[in-house]
This record gives sequence, structure tokens and C-alpha cells, in this order.
Amino acid sequence: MKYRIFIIFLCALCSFLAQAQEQLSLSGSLDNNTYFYIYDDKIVPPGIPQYERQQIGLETWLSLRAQINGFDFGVRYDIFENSALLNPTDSYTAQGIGRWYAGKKLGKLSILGGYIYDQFGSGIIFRAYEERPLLIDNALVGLKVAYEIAPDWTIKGIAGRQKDLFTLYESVLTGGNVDGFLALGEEGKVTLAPGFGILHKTLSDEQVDALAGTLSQYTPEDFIDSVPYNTVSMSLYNTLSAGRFSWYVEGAYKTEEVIYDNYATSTLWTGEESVGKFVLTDGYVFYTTLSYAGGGFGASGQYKRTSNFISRADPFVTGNRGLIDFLPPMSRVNTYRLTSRYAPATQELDEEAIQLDLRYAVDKNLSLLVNYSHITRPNAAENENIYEDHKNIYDELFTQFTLKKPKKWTMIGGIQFQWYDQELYQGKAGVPLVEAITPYIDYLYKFDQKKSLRTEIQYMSTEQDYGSWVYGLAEFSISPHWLFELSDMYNVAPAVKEDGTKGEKLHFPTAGVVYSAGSTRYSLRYVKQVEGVVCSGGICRLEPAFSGVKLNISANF
Amino acid sequence: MALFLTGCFEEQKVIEPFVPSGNRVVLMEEFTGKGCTNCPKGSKELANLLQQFPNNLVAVSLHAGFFADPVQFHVGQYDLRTDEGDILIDYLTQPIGYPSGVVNRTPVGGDMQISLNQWASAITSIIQVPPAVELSIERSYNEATRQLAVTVNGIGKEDLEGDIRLSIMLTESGIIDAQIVLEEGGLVEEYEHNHVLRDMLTPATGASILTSITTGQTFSQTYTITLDPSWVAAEMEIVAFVSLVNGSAIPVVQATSAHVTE
Repeated sequence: MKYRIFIIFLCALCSFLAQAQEQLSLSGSLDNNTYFYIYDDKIVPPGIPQYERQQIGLETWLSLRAQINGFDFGVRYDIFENSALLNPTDSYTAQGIGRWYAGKKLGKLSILGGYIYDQFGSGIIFRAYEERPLLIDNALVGLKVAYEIAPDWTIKGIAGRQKDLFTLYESVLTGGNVDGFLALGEEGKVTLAPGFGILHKTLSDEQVDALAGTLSQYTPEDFIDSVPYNTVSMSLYNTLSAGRFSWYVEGAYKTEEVIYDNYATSTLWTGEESVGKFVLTDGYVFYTTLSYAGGGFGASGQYKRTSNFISRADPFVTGNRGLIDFLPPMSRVNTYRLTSRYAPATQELDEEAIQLDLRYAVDKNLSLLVNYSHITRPNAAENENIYEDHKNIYDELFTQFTLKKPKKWTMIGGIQFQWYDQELYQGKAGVPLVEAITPYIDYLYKFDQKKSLRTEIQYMSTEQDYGSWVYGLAEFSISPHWLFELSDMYNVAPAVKEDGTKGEKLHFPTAGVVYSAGSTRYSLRYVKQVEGVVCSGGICRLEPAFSGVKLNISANF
Repeated sequence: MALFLTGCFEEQKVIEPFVPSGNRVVLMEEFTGKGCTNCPKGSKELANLLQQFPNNLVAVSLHAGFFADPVQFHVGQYDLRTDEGDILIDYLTQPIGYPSGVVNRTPVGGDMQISLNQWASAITSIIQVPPAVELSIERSYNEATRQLAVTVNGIGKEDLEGDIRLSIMLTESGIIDAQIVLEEGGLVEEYEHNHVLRDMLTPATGASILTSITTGQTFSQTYTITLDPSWVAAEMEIVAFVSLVNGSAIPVVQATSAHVTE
């Protein structure tokens, strides 16, 4: 009898496990960058530890995900060994759980706990996301609850603290967001997608005490009487789509907060003036984009006005650290090596910008594009210091044509005109406005269904910064697995320096091979890279010069 | 919405001007370089803080790292770097941005190097804490031979356990040389460099003098050095401080300073 009960139990257990296995879904991904540093005294400054003694550095993100019976679990292990991502002149070594989460959908209710990536609207008041090349990972560590209040209408709430590498910022964030979708008129030809978001930030006692310690030393001219513990940000947004038109508008407001204005004049006890101080102020952003598409013609226009909209998890952090919000970039995202060399970082304190984009498909083989962006600091005169003259800070006119012979070749070309305030954007004292003209050509030729060759030629003509560059690239691809690349960026006409001398004409070559198999990609490249600024979404980071070998492995499983 | 708008009625932190008291002396180590465009802001802030805390703050400006390298920045005629400065910029971690400084070798929010807008709060949070050791300096300087003898005397005010290290730095102010200054739009030919680290009488990371100290216990250490002929003795200061090293924790327990000449 006992034997029969045991067999029945065993069968029931096996049946349950079999069912569970059918419902269990496992997946993951690996993203690894390994660097082998080879010192080159012509391009790499001395004193960089990776070149002096460490020789190898790496960053790795390993993610695992399990979904079973409506539950969703995930964990990610992050490794930084001798990494230059945190500090370009030093190395960063740390490893640990970079993310974990657990979630469940219960009918109309979704629950997610752990490290959360999400945003309200376009992200102007709240965006938790990661951008690994910039070492941005500002996940909200806490709880997210979302409820479908009606078809196409969702309300969600969040609460937690922002991630800071492997710790947390002390401030507490809580917020809510409701957005939805409405179809109006006959056959829903007019649609609305409105939304409202609100975010509440509470500084910790320690953070406020630290602020008080700094502010207590301010002169009467700059003195701030009190510091609020709480800040509230709100945004109202909507997308209206009508036929071929689409119009997005968002307005955001932030209550008074002590923020660091690095352009404001401060008065010191010594009687001297300096630049940069904490100020107590509210802030706002207005952002709108209008687009039209039809008949082979596409047009979009964007406008943004930002005033004192610094929103960080800690009032003392700067750069890319502690960002709570995401302000939309107002210049074109360029992808070619030279056209992307001078990218304007989004200004949080004072910025007014427009961007226009026109596209026209002449026929199915020829299309044209013109893009113009113009960025200013309207209140520059209020700075009353060196920054008062920095009002017009960026202009770009970008043109492009795309011509193709189907299944044979594709040619992309055009010319870019740029005016870039390098003194403001990169903090280089006394440097002139960079004026650059960059023609470019990108030609892809398909030998057959498997083999193709892509070449790029770009020439940046400028008398400022490093001077003029020429860039050439050849990529030979054997589908589906192999890609071989060879490129060189050459400082063909170095600029004249302040002391009257010219820089050295240097080559920055790259040679590499990429192998892809399914969803796994391996790349090995020998790289010499000039220092520059890497930007993504208007947020930038100084990228130091590099000399050595880069190995990258990325896999999804 | 009402919950969020209660922020309108919140109690705010009232800011009172801070007036230091007591005999705690805080060490401020500023990292700088002649090619560093933003660093003059740090020097201004340093002067500002020294004016605020004349009896409670000592400062050292270390020319070290990328922006101090004359190969990278052909600025002026002097190389203001020192071997000790090169060791200390690694010992105290490389700055992420400039201006950057280390206050009492005590991390703030996990960071040893902190930005200019954090210096004042880091200093005020330490000043009110009574020192565990009291220090004084005796010195004698022979103008003819340029030999300087420094004796640092200390007495324990609390019991301490750990690697107790003494560091003695020599700084010079009033050095006129070029500097790139963002606020002046570029190169300033005759810029006054102050509190510049010239040399150390002890090893860069300090000399281990005790493994523990008890209340009332005294110590005395004497060092001598011959000043470089190019240094102006009248503009030089002796900065001495005691730090307690326990693994990666290296806080300064107390600092003091004295002029080389009367």
C-alpha cells in the first residue's frame, strides 16, 4: 500500500515538474569589453595607470532572466576591472550584483520590485535608464506598481532610491504617472495620448546638513536663508495625431530647490569674485515637436526651452552622476566619425533650442535630407562673468542624399556645417569657436548575396582645436558571419597652437575583425583613438585617447 | 496630489552662518596644475576658506597629475611637481574632475577626492570635533646655510590604536608663474601660486611614529632639511599633521602649521 502511494506521489511530482518546465523560460545576455593597453607616448598622456602598470582592463554585464507562471525574475552581475569609465585618468575596480528584480502581473495590476528602469512621458521629470558607454545606470531601487484603470489607460507609482554604482543615493524618490490613449472622430483619425507625471524627492538629513555646511560659509550677497528638504516636479504632456500630422507637447515645472549653478558669479570673503555657487530656484522645461509625413515628404520641427532644471539625487554630484531627469537633446544624432566629433551636451541651467528636419524621397532610389539645429543660452548676460558672452553656443546644418541601385549599391553623402562653442561645452579656456565643414561619402557595394564592401571618406576642415582631419574606412563583409574593417583618422592639417607651433600630423588607425554567429558577436580590434567627447542623448563624457586592442563579446541566450 | 503638495508647507533647514570654535585644525589638500583651467577657482575658494577659518585650517596645493605635466601643458617656466605629490595623487585617488581636493583625508559620500562645492561642508563637519592629538611646531632656520630644523611635538588627548603617522610638508606661496585660467579667457602670464608643496621632511605617505597613543602620552620628532636655493624662505610654511592609518582609512587626526621664518 505504501509502495503504491509513493508511486502515485512520484508520478504527480513528475507531472508537476514537467508542467513547470514547459512554463519556465530562461534567457540571458552577456556584454563584455576587454582592453589590452599598449602605451603610445604620442597620444596617451603619462600617468594613466592602465598603461603604466595594469595593462588589461574590462567591463562585463551578465544578465539572467527567468519567467515562470507569470512571475518575472532577473539578476545582473556587473564587473569593472581597471576600467576607465568612471575616471578617464584613473582606474575603477569593483564587482557585484548590478541589478535584480522580481515582478508579477495579477490581472490589471503589475508589480515590480528591485532595480527598475522606467520613465514618465519623454523623461523630462523622471527617467531611470542605463547607457553603458557613459557609465550611466540610474535605476530606481524600490517598487513600481502599475494598474490598467481602463483600456489604454494606465496609472503607475514608483518609490525608492536611485542607484549609485554599487550603493544607493540617500535621497528618496516617490512618484506617479498616468497616461492613456484616445481615438476621436470617424475611424479614430484623430488620436490623443495625454499624460501627467509627478515626482517627489526628499533629501536625507545628512544631505541637507552637508548643504547647510557649505551655505553657512556664503557671503551676505550669496546667502541662502533656508534649504527645502523636498522638491516636487510635475509634467503634463500629450501627443496629438491627426492624419499626417503629429504634435507632441510637454511642459514640466520643478519647485524651489538648492542647485549648483556653475555659471553664476559668487562673491567671496576675500573680496574676489568667482564663478559657481549654489542657488535656490525653481525650474521649468517646455518641449514640443511637430511632424508631418506623407507623399514622400517628411518634416519635423522641435523647440525646447530649459531654465534651472537640474534634477539630481544628490545636490553635490556633477557630470553624469545622480541624474533623475532626461532632457531631450536638440541636435541631430550623427553617426559618422567626424560628423559626430563635436556634439553639444544638453544644458540644464539655461538653454533655448530649435531643430528642423526635412526629408524628401524623390523616388524609391533617391532621398534627400536637410537638418538644422540652433542652440542658445538666452540668459547668458545675467552671468556677469566670462560666460555672459556665451549666448549662441551651437549651430549645425546637415545635408544628406541617399542614392541606391537596389541589390547592388547604396551611396550616402552630404556635407555638415558646424559652429561649436568649445570653451563652454568642454571647459577649455580661451579656445575659439570651432567652425567646421565636413563633407562625407559612404558607399556600400554588394558583390553578391554574401559579400559586400562598404567604404567611407570624410574630411573635416577646421582651423580650431586639433585642426583638419581626414577619415577613411573600408569594411568587407562576408555574410552571415564575418566582417573585416580597416580605418584611419589622420590629422592632415594640425591647427596652429598658441605658441605658434603646429601639432604633429598623427595617424589613428584601426584594424579589426568581427565574427557573428546567431545572436553572439565577437569583435577584436587594434585601435588608436584620439581623445574626444562621446555623447548619447545629449549627455556626454570625456573619452580619453586609447592605444591598444579592444575585445568585445556580446551574446543573447 | 495633496500628499505631494504638502512640500509647500514643510519645515525647511534654516541656515546659520558658521563660526568655528575650538582648536581642531583641518588639513585641506588641493590638487591642481598650471594647465588646469578650472583650478584657479579652487585656489580662490581655498583662500576664501582660509580667511573664514584662519586658526582652524591649513592648506597645501599639490601640483600633480595630467594638468601639472609640463610635457602636456607648456605653461610658464617652472615645473611645480614633486615626487611626493605624484605619490600622493595615487595614494589619495586620482581626481575625477577639477578643482578637486581632499579634506582631512576623510571620504565624503565614499569619495576621497571631492569637488569644490563640497569643501566647506566637509571642513565645517570636522572642525567642531575636538582633536585626539594636539600638535605644536618648533623650528630654527639658519639663513646662511639655509638649513631648517623642525621639531613636531604632540600630546595625546584620547587613546588611539593603529598606525600613527606623522607627515611634514613644506609649502611656498607667492610663486609667480603662468597659469591657464578659464575666467580670464586663457593664459595668465603672472599668476600667483600659493601653498605649493615644495618638499616633505617625511616619506610621502607619512612616517610611522607610534602604534598607539594614550591620553597624556607625548611624542617628539625632529627633522632637518636644506632649503633649495630657488625657494623664498620668507614665503614658506611648515605643515605638519598626524594621521591614523587602519587599512584604507587614513583620516587626519590633527594638523598644524608654522612659518619657516619669524
